[in-house]
Amino acid sequence: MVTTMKMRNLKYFIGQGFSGLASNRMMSFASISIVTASIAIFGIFILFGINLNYISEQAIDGIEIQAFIDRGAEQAVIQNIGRQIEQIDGVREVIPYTAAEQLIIAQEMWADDPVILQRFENSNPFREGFRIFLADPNDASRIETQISRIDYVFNVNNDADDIQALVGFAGILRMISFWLVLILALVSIFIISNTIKLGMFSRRREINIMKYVGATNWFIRWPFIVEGIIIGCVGALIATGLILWGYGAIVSRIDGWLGMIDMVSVGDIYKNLILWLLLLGGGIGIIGSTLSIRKHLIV
Amino acid sequence: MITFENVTKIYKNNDKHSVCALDDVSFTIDKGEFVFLIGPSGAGKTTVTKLMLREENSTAGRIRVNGFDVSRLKKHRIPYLRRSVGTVFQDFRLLPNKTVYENVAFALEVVGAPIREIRRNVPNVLSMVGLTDKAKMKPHQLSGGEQQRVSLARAMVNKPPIILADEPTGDLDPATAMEIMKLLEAFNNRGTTVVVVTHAKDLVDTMQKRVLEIDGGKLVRDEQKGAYENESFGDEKDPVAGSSELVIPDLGVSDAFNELYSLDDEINALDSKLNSISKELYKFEKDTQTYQPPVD
Ligand SMILES: Nc1ncnc2c1ncn2[C@@H]1O[C@H](COP(=O)(O)OP(=O)(O)O)[C@@H](O)[C@H]1O
Ligand SMILES: [Mg+2]
Repeated sequence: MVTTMKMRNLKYFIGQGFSGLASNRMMSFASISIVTASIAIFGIFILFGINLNYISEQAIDGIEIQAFIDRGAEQAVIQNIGRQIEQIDGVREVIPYTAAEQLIIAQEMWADDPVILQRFENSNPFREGFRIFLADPNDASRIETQISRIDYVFNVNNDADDIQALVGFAGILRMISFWLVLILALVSIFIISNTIKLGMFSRRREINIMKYVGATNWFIRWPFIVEGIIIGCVGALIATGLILWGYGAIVSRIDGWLGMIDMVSVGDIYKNLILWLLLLGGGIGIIGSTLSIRKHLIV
Repeated sequence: MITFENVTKIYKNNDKHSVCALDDVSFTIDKGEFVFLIGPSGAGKTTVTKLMLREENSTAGRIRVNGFDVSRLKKHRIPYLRRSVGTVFQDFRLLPNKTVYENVAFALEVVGAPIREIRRNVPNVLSMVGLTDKAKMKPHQLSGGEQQRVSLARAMVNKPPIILADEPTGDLDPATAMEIMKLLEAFNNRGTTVVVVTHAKDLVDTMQKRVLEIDGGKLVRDEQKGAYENESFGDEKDPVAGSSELVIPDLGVSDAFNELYSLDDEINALDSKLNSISKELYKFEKDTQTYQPPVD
């Protein structure tokens, strides 16, 4: 009995919410558009952030130090250096990186360039070396220094700095997204609360009668909250649709252009994106309508 | 049923101008009474109705309505006070985009009444006010008197013990006004307590009901079977003569009205009987289910 009553009320609130939207088309359209734009902008930043994180995580996992050895060092010396590097704390794996191996890679890379290829024909310009993989990418610079102190080590390369920069950029992006969502959410809340205010104004007769016949405050308020939620969620859905469509197009383009950037696929993110953006939209709607109700619907 | 004990109401506008709308007013209205609340414009009549409904709260004194301690009522209980008082206003306050039926049903819908009750009560109350034929019409298709009857039906549809009408006939011609009064009297005859705020001298004089007169925020007269003007001031006009010009229309609903009301009571009684029977049955079933025969 109680549940059927609640169901009926729910149906009533939702019906009233929609008819509220329909009764003030211009304002509803305007506020849905603003919410859509806000959430879409925010969603674009989120996608940027997700991809940056993804790329930098991959980069960190693959972080690698390369050490090269003086020309003319004997094979025994080279092997000894390899063993010494293996002894260093935090080194996960050491793989020889021979001059011959480097030559083959270079020849493949410049296969179309006969001028360069010709330079490789008579002599191998590369040095014997090692590729060193780490247990923890944070140890990169310490290990780099330790390797460079070993005798006969000519130089040591480390791409950790670039990756550190990438991680730093991801952090900045996160901060920008945070402030952006705050500002856009406030704008959306403001416009929704104004829409609801107009809605309450155009229904003032009904509200007045409801008060006199003894409807409870919440019964009077719910339709407006539902209206706010609808505006927020519809905006969020449109925004999510637009973003996912655009993102899908970009991912397929970039995959076509350069195989080296590996982006997060649409299939991996769409569920979470829809969920979170819907929650954001709904939340904005609830806050906007509640503000308006508290300010203007004094029962 | 309704008591005002030393009630004072001061409206504080801005810091400077505060208006004392009611000054130490006390009266009691018993269950089943029909009372006119009269007095010049600005006397404080509407303030009395607002205090009864807790649209405003009293500055001092105590108000009781239907067992609700109105002045101390918690905010979330106010709707329940209002459900026990049917209200009618001078301007009808109907929703223009709803039909007569929908306007009346609205009052039940928004308090979450069961659909069964809505389907039963709305046609009943519409027939009591003689508007069965116009149930599908919109307010703008009705005369003023008919609109006020819709508003009365809306006030009465959940069978409140009290009906409170603030100048219900202010916008109506005398004959139509009398129609409304007769309807209010019919509800009163069925046990509803009726309070009518009015300016209509003829009506008050004709109806011969209790009169409470307020002037300048003070209760200046409380008279059983009173006339609009205080007799002790020497009224040259015979109130009965004044009212004899009035055509008292027979709506032809009075008998049907009583019949419907008693049928309704019967249905309600049967309903609650059925309810208790089904409860018993349920209990019985549960008992028999849990009953374990003794094992030797
Ligand atoms: N909300 C209000 N704020 C300030 N003064 C008010 C308010 N409502 C009524 N008053 C004043 O209180 C007095 C009584 O008003 P009211 O009860 O409406 O009188 P009546 O209904 O008898 O004409 C009047 O002087 C009126 O101006
Ligand atoms: Mg008044």
